[in-house]
Amino acid sequence: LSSAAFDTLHHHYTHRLAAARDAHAGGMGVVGLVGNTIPRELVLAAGCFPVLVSADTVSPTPAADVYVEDVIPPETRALFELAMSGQLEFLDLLVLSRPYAHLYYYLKEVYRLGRGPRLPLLYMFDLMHCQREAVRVYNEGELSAFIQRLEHLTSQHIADPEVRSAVERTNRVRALQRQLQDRRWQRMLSGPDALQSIGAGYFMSPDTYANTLAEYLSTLEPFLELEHRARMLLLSSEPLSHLRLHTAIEAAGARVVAEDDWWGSQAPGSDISVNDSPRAAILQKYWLDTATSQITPAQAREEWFRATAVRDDVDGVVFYLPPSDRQLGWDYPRLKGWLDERGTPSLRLRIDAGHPSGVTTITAELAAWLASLHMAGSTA
Amino acid sequence: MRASPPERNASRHRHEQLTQLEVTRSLRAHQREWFARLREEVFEPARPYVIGGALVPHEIFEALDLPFITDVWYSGLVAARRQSAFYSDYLTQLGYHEDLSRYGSLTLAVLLDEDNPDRPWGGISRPALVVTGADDRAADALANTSGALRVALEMPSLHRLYPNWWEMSRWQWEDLDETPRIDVMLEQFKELVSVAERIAGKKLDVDRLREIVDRVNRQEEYFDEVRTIIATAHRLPARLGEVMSQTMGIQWHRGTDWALNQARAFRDEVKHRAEHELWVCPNERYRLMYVGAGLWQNLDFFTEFEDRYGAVFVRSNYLSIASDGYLRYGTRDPLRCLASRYVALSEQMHIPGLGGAWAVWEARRHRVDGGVSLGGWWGQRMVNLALEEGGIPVVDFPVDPVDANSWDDAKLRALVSNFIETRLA
Repeated sequence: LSSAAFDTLHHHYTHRLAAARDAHAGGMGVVGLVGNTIPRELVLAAGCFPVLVSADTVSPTPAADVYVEDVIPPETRALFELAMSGQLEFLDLLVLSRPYAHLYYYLKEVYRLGRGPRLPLLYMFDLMHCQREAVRVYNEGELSAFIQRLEHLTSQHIADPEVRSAVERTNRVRALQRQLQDRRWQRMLSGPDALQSIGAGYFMSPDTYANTLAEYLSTLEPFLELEHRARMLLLSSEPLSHLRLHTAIEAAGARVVAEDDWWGSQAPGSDISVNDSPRAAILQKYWLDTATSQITPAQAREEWFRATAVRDDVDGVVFYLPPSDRQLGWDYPRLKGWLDERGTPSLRLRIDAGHPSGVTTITAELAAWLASLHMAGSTA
Repeated sequence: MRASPPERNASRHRHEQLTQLEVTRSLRAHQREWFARLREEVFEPARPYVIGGALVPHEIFEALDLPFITDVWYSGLVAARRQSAFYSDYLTQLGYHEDLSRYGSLTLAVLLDEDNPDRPWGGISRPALVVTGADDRAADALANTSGALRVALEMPSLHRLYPNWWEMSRWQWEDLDETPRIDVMLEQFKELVSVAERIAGKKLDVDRLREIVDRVNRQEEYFDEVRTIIATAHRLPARLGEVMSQTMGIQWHRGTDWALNQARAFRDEVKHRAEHELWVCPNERYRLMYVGAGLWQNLDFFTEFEDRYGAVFVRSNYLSIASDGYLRYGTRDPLRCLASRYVALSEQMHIPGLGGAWAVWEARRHRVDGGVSLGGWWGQRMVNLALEEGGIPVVDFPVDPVDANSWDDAKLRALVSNFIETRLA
């Protein structure tokens, strides 16, 4: 289904730097964010435009091939390539989050060597994700240092009222994204459409995005074609910054109803409290209520997944562990065992969806699995 | 695939023939004796013990008299006994796919293989505590399998990158490692101490911990002397495989009297060999450096090129990081001192800029002609690039450090031979 609102979301999901470039052209400062654990509210409060920086993992990476090893995740290699290409030169600051610390090190070094002259200014925001008090002071320090960096960048003090206002703007986004997720469960949109509708929020100004998403939500209604599809929960070892996997799964006759990933269902989480100190509330949100594969202990990391997997309206779980996986594979036997005990079918995919024949192969594998479970074309 | 007992005997015999250092034999004897004692006093009566990663403060366990083994040491043992291919496949069969690192996880494989009578040195029992880095999910699986407590240590990222970090690490570590980063490691170590105290049933004696940290410093000083002897001697006095085994064999027991005495004996023997011109390869022509994780599945490979080319391996990360990475003076607050030691231990060898600068400095110091660089670790390309641009030719060595499934003897021998013939000769 298409609508003008969806077309706008689709446009920004596809042309990811478009709104940021417009903001830059309009004289606004633009801060690029690598990863979802950097408080965009602070960037907004500083009067800048925050934009997520992402990269397509299937494009050639000639520069990364020289400097960055194959053991580094494809996404990081692609981001290195993007940065080296000069496409991020217009950013006033490029902030890298902890899961991308390696990227920070590589970029700092090529810059030091004089081989990355078109790189923007780099900043490392090292928020730790282990959920223990031992890291609280460090995380508080990281947040303060980030605020200072933004103040230095803009030569302006970031005051609490501005931060609170920014929080209200992003909370509106979160509320709408949660509504979108509800509609998804109600068979009103497909997995790829949901992913685009949520993902666009990382690239647009929060107000424009919220207005567009609200308009899109108002057009949604139950979609009969989706009714008889097996409902899949997706757990991926790499960020789902593309549609390939969802497209492959849905081409097999299933429907991705949720994914344990910050590009999809895990994007909004809870609101940031506006009652307490906004800085403390922001820390609380980005430290303890933001999905990332780096959360420890596993119990905290898997909380959402387990709660979702036991829903009556989940028919099965798809684990996506492409050859680049170095982490989730260690959890897989345990999680599969847990699902088996509950009688929830699961499938492990090891094909790289970015491979030229990846989508076709995944679709075939999934279709065969659904057929074996007698789930093809019907809910279980 | 698993080596048969006769194959293992043949390998052991060949290894014995290549052994030149008396301390290699004394180390081997000690390890067997120590492990047998561990079996008798800890594994069999099911007393609590710790499995730790390489980059965690073993000194704390030592101070609490809490027995511990290092996961990569035991993985290395599995590899040295030619059982790594079997255990790698075993993990795959259990659902841990083949692209997951086997470096430290063979310990998990052996633990899961409870009914096998042919486990390396009789296998291990379930630990009470597993301590490694926060991103080590194999350790999560190990703790989960064992019902053990899990302490996952999270290292903060570096904000300031000092290429010549080794010039600051011994005394200027508060500046090098940044106070907030040391603080957050310290807080995590305090939590670790609390958990370890519960398991050990006693409180940590800080004075004893300081003595242990000081003893480790003295041990690393001996290693530093060995490095200097090797770097400056006319020719190579000790084979790299033996030097690596010795260094890490001692390192896994750091803080004990045995480790300090063994390190001194190691220094004495290497010094004696250099003074009496007992060279590994009297016909020495090419000096090679080995870069990357230890080739634990086949340390004898380093001797393969001595007769034909006069090529010797003179340097690895292990001996050099012992002094540049471990040494921390100013132990008034021993826990803080440890927090600094471990806040970036090993990272310095990987981080672009830091790893390359160190490798080039090391290469020049050791009068190296070329490098063999093990693949599969992050930062490798930048290190290789720095070496090449520093005038040191490097060859990529595409093999897993422990998984024998990745080993192709003829191919790897040809690779290094070709490198020597085409780039060094």
